[in-house]
Amino acid sequence: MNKQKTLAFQVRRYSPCSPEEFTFAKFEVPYQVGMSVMDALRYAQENLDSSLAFDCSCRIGICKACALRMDGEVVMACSTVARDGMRLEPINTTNVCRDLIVRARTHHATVSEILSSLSTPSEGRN
Amino acid sequence: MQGNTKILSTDVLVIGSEGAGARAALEATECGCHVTLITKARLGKSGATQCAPGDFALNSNSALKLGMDGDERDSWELHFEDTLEGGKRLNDVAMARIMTEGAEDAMAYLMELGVPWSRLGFYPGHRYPRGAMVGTVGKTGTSLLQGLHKAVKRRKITVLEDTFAIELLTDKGIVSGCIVLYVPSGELLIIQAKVVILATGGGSRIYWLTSGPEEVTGDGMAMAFRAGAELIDMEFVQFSPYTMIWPQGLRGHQSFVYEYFCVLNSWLMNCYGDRFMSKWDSERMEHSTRDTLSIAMMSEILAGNGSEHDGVYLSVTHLPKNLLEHFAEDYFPGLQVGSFHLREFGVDPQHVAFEVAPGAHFFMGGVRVDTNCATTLPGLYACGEVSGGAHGANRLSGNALTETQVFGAIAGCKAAEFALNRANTTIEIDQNQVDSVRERIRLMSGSDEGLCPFVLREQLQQLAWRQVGVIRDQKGLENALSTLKDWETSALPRIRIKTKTNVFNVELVKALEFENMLQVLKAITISALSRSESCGAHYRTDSIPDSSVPVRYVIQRNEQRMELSSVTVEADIV
Repeated sequence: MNKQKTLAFQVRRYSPCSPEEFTFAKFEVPYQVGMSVMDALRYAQENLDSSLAFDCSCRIGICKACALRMDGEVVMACSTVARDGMRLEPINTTNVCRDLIVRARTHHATVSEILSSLSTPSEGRN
Repeated sequence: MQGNTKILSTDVLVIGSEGAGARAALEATECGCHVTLITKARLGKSGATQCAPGDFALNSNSALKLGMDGDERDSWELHFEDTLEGGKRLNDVAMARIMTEGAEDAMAYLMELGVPWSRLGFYPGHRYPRGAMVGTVGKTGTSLLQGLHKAVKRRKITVLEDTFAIELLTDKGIVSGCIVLYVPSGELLIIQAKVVILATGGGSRIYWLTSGPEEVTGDGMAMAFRAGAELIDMEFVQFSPYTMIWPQGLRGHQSFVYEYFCVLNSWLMNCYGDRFMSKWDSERMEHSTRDTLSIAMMSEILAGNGSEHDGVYLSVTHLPKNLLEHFAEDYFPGLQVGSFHLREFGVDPQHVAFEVAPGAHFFMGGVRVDTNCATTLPGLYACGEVSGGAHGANRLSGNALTETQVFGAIAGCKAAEFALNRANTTIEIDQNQVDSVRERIRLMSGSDEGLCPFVLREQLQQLAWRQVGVIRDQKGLENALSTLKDWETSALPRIRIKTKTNVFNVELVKALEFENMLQVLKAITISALSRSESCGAHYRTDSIPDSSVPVRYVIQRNEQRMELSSVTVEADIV
């Protein structure tokens, strides 16, 4: 077998239905020169664990939807080159919805919350 | 996901929150309606408008009147004429007219919202400078959206983000809302509305290589089709030759590629080092038109003469080092493009060629609408890239942003009128429709072994790019169609989602998108098979000259089948 270079990384994972608060999942993906953090995440999601959740839109550095922390530093996953051994975490850990997905505290979590916020006259919309 | 589905009521439901959707929402609010604006992603962090590096097209004389450096010899009639010429006169003439005539007012509205237009660019196909831009390259789309979204937030518009529209609801044949998936909790929600406006954008992500964002998967077109609306001009998909294919981390980028390609005297080469453009356009070579470049590049790729990663080589290494340094200093100081440091990605224009290929850029076709943005289905309106007609067989630079604003306003106004006329109607929810969506999701969520939506998505994107993309022929299209039919019957029912939680179940969203992508690609394929002569963005290697009256192809649902018909093209009367 061809010995392909790989890139190993960890992702802080969180799911509201899992008993533990959060875990670090380890992934190992084929390494390519000029591969972004987003490419590594995409490979893991498409080939290793389809439940891995993160935001991704433009992939060209405009929308900033993919912002996260790589080894503690805030970066955009699309415009940052992947590093072997990197540790990926959500941009902040207080408003994590799942894995790397973070939403503002005012963002409604359930349909009931939306409907009740809409029926109050002074709605505090996100 | 059991239990009663909750209901949210509104006058006007707008699906899609960016260029066209935000504009439509503002207009409908100004007409006195309560508006609910939903997006499957987030406001200002999604959609194709944000990616628009370029311009908003309006005639140069109007630009001059609005304080830009325009040319008084231009007029909307000339802009209209150029738009028809670019569209190979297959445009919906009335729509092209409304778009070009309405551009000045649309621009004035954006100025009132504070969009700081600063200069006017000169782009191919336009006989005068008509491309209004904001500041530096790449700022136009985002500035336009900031203006619109600020206004949306000031109005009493209900905005729901992370809300994926699954199926339109109809009551007595009239569109009356939508069943949506609220992604943060995984709950289904019924949004009951007097009228619905689709502003979901195009479907560039159906293609493996594209400049479009992750979300543009043709959802609005597929949903409208399933509800019974007509699609039109689906065979016309515009490709951009200036799309990076490798390194992987830069795939889909266009901005800096365009500068190296067009400003410098660059060379396009196949894997043998041949400058293959000499076979296609020996005079203009690498400065040929976008469609010729795309066709030439894809021909090399499909013939197996492409680069290591399925593109072709774009090289400037023949130019002197100090010239390249000077160029980079002028355009991309430190070889930095936005937040991307090109060197970190392994890009070194002095020594190494880029790998580029044609990427899907824009859908000229879409949901068929009339000049009021009304679709063929009562209660359903559409505006922006999701609709088809104004651009004909090919779109001119800048007309995409113009389309979002001119038709966004019209859709908002006309849909509001429709809603107000229906003010006293009680809408009944068809529980069968809700149950069938619930059942579809339940089947996908079963724990059995099945097909992964991510894998299927990539297979479909490859099929689209290779066989229904820049270069087409009967055999390839028939082959693609039979694969798509096969996927409909054998792959769709076997999609299984492994994600166990309902909270931000991204995999479920991808599975729902896959069905939309499949239907839209099928519509493109059927339309492309019918048009045997190459025209505009539709290129066939087996093109047969067709001297009969020009027609436009329409796709509609008949029971479970996709049926094709044609309409003749109107005469172009100014």
